Amino acid sequence: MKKTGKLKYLSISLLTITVLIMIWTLVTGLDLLPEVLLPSLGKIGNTFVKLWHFGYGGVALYTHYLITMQRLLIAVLCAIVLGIPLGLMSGYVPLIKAIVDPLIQFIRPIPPLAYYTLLILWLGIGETSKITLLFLAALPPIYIACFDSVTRIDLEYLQSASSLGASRWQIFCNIVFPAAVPDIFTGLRSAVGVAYTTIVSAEMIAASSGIGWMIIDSSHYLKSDVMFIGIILLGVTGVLIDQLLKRLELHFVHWEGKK
Amino acid sequence: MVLLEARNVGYKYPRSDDQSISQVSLALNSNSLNVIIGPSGIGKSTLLNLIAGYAMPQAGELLMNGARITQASWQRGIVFQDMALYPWLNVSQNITFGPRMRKLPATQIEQRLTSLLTQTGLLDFKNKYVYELSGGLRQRVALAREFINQPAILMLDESFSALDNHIRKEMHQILLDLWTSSGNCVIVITHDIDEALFLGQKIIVMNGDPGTIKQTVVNPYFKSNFDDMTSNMAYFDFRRALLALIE
Repeated sequence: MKKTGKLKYLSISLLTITVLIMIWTLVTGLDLLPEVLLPSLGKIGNTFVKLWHFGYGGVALYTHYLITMQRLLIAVLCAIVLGIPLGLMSGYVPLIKAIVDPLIQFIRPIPPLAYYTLLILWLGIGETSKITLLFLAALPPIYIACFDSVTRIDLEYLQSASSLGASRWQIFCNIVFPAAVPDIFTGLRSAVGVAYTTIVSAEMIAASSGIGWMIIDSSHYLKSDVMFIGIILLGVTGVLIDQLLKRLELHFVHWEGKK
Repeated sequence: MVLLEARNVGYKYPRSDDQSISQVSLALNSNSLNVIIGPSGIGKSTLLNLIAGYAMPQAGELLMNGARITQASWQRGIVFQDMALYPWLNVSQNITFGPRMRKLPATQIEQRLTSLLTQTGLLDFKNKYVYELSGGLRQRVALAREFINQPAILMLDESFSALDNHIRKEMHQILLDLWTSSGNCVIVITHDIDEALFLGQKIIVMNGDPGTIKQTVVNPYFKSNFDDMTSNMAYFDFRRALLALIE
């Protein structure tokens, strides 16, 4: 996108947010909706300051935040470490596809919450079950992106590499992997998205910390201001993570679309 | 000495409309420049794929130095029409891909690289990514990537067809220079009669359905440019006869 185009895009985005804030201020200022349904921005700000100083449920707000991010980070890292080689190898070696693919295809459509209680039974109510839930949610998008990228790889890349003297393993490392990097980033962004949407579920059951837990717990007491703080924190972090991944993609996949 | 021999080779792509070939026989020597010419879709690329070892003949046999071709090998390099350069690598990395994979000594790779960058006029572009180059420069990279590997047979599958006339002539000269210094067996596939007349010591005409070799012609006008032959009636008679064979 050109610089003027970017500026225009940014202005429109900022305008949308400004209009939304104005409507919110108007609705809450005129008491058009009860506070429990839509607290004012001022109240949300005050509650944020209170939470920052005194925490929620005896745990500091930043600790809730860090716990959630830690769970997310560990789960996504595990999904990357396992999902990328597994997806690439499945696309490259039919035997590995025959072993792995049915399992991933089985897990993929199941809503993570459906097997969460089983995970708790198997792994206990601690961190392991929560991280495993997020890991299982993040794994299929990364695996499928990697698998698809191998099946779509330009046949002439593979043929020319073999005619230049590369072995099958060398082709995997030097052609298949770099050619798949753009799709790996796409899969990674989807994986973070899916894991992110699962985090509230993971912290719903048998948890006493984390932003997801804070949202669920505050909902029991109709503390919508606390809920909004949790939602805004998750939303802003989600956008920032996605932007970070986009920038990393631009840096590492400088050739995309420029074949 | 015969380097590559095809004996009654036949092939048909399973469940595909791609042209099959049948009863293809030829014998090519090392240190020779050969052009295979014929209408589009006659099976010229199919024959190259078989020689490269990407597929096995369903009939007959293909031999290199008397041994049956069973798989792809660096001894038989190929330049595709789309070049298949790796966009994540720069020019030098693309060119040295083969020798690096074959684990040749670094000093040898460096020597060959410098020599080829000079021969192909790519010295100033050696650190550029291939997507930053024009079509003609990319073709030079694709040629250098093959010649650095010093294959016994080098195949070019309509490699110059997408280039404009001026750059194509440049590429012809670069190919001739590289071939002269390497002495390998080059097979050029084209449907351009003037390219065939300029580049082919031997012109192999393919035709028919399924495609087969109609005639092999020794070209007396090898390295003769169409533009320089405008007053040579014998050249035009030869060209006309060749066109008739193709059509």
